[in-house]
Amino acid sequence: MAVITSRTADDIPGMIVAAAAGDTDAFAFLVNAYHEDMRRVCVVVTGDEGIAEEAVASAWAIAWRKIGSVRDPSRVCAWLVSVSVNEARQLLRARKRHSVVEIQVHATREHGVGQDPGAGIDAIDLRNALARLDQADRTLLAMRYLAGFNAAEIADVTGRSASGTRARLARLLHRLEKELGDG
Amino acid sequence: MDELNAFERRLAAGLDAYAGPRRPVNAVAIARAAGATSPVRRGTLLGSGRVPWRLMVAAALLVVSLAAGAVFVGSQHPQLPPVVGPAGNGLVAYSSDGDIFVGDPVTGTSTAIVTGPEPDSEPMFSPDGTHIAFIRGDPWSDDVTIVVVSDDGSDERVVMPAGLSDRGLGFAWTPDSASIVVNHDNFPFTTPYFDGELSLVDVFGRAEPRLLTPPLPIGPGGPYLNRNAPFAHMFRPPNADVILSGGANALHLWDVDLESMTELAPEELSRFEPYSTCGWCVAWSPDGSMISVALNVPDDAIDTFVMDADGTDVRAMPIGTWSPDSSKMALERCSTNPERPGAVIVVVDIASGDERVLGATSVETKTEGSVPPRPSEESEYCGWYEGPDGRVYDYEGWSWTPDGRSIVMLERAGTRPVVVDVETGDAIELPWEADSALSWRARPAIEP
Repeated sequence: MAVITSRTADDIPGMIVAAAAGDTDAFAFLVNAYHEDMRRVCVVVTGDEGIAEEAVASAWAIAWRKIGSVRDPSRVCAWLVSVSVNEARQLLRARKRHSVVEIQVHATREHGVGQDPGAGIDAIDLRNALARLDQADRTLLAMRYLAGFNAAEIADVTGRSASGTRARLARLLHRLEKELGDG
Repeated sequence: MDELNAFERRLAAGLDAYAGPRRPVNAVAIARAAGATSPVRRGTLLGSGRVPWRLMVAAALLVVSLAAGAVFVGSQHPQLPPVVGPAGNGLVAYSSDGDIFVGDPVTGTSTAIVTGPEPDSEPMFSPDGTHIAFIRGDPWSDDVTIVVVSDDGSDERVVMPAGLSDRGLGFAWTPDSASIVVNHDNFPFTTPYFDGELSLVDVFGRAEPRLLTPPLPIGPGGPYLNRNAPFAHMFRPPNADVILSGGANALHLWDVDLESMTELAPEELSRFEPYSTCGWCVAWSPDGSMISVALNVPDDAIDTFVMDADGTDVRAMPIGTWSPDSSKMALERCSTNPERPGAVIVVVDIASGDERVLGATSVETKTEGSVPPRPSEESEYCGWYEGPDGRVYDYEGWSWTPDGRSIVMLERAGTRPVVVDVETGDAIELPWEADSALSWRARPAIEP
């Protein structure tokens, strides 16, 4: 564990090179740095923690073999996330039983309290909104607002144009704002 | 992240909460598993492609990852939820079309854990959450068994074979999760309804089933066990070491072997008729500190009380099902709103006596039950009784959620359960249609 903690984010390019050469300690550095980003994005995409775990495990196996193909170290996180999301979507297709199910909410707001505009969106409302989205839109949402990637980074790993990604994000945001309100 | 507007910030916060907290990662183990098993880094010697290396690596990594998660969870909380005090809300067991399902109320996903041609119903998680018991067969016939499985549906075993009951069946876990109390009725019948005999069945087969009635009194006329409670209410939590029953002139506190008994006769209750033999009329609070009791009075009505476990501090109180933290009672009543006839759930605060009627929500969970309407005098109770409009209302089932914040109600078989927050009245409809009352698995409470 000391190998991991003694290094900083500045070491990532070096870690990628070392991992590509077979250095498992360097690879562990990357695992430590990005595993949770990958898993949490997959949770949003799939709505299933078990599938998310499995997808990330599968993604690390792929990453071990292909980490050397990452040319831009600044995009390694986006690349790893996209690999895990691809694995998650494949797992979802293979397990129809675990598809995301929409929870209908009949909330009686007259007894509720006002919403803090600074707080997150109501969890139940968000869950229902996510359930109505397809996986591509859930992926876009998770990459943008959970992992914090910009449109260019998302476009790079999804194979779309940056402008197309921005347009789709804008449409998605507009739709969600209508569904969830703006506080 | 680029500059976000207010809605985007809220969206990001919401997604962050949805994704859950970050967990510690055993990165070294994951990396070494990958490095040790991947054929690619070993060059061309293993390049035939016949060995499913990718699958093997993924499996190894998954094991490492899940093990790390388990260690994390285990380091945060005990493995088994506490019986005393409120717990967190875990998974939900329910039956639908004769199969047993376990659903996750958070994600909305659901998995059938027991399937097959046999009609299975009424699943109930053990208080420690490790097992599920359910009824196989028609519970109102003599061809019915009680089956116990692990929480994933494996390790199925019949703990009560067919033939134990000739008419009707009910069951509940003891608070220590070691046994099941079976409510049955056998020839010769004492009443035309249901005699309410009890047997104790060891879930793990370490002891022979034994009849508890007598010396416990039978509960003639209706089910003995409170289906809305998470465990057999006459067994003192958490260790099921004392059995409470109504006696001729006092409450009776039996040792678990029913060989010795002490009486509890608070003076405040001496003006009532001899203590009822009604099975469901006495119950322990979930923390074992209090007792609720219903007593007959001379005009053939029932008065209800709560007292401390030593018989002191007797208070008149509507009784129903204790909340997990022992601070409230929930009971089913008829709505007093003529515009909205039906059953409602009333929550009573034990300390203040204040009542909160969940019928104040706008959720239509209150409709005519399965009992046919019949003309009668007005009654404030609805379950199997008549409402003020002369019709009968009853929920298929309802219970507290383990965190004690909500009541989950099933209006009638084949509908979706509704979870109502007892403080706010906010209601959530779960995405599954259930045929019988839900059983909510308790998990260790997470501190805020």
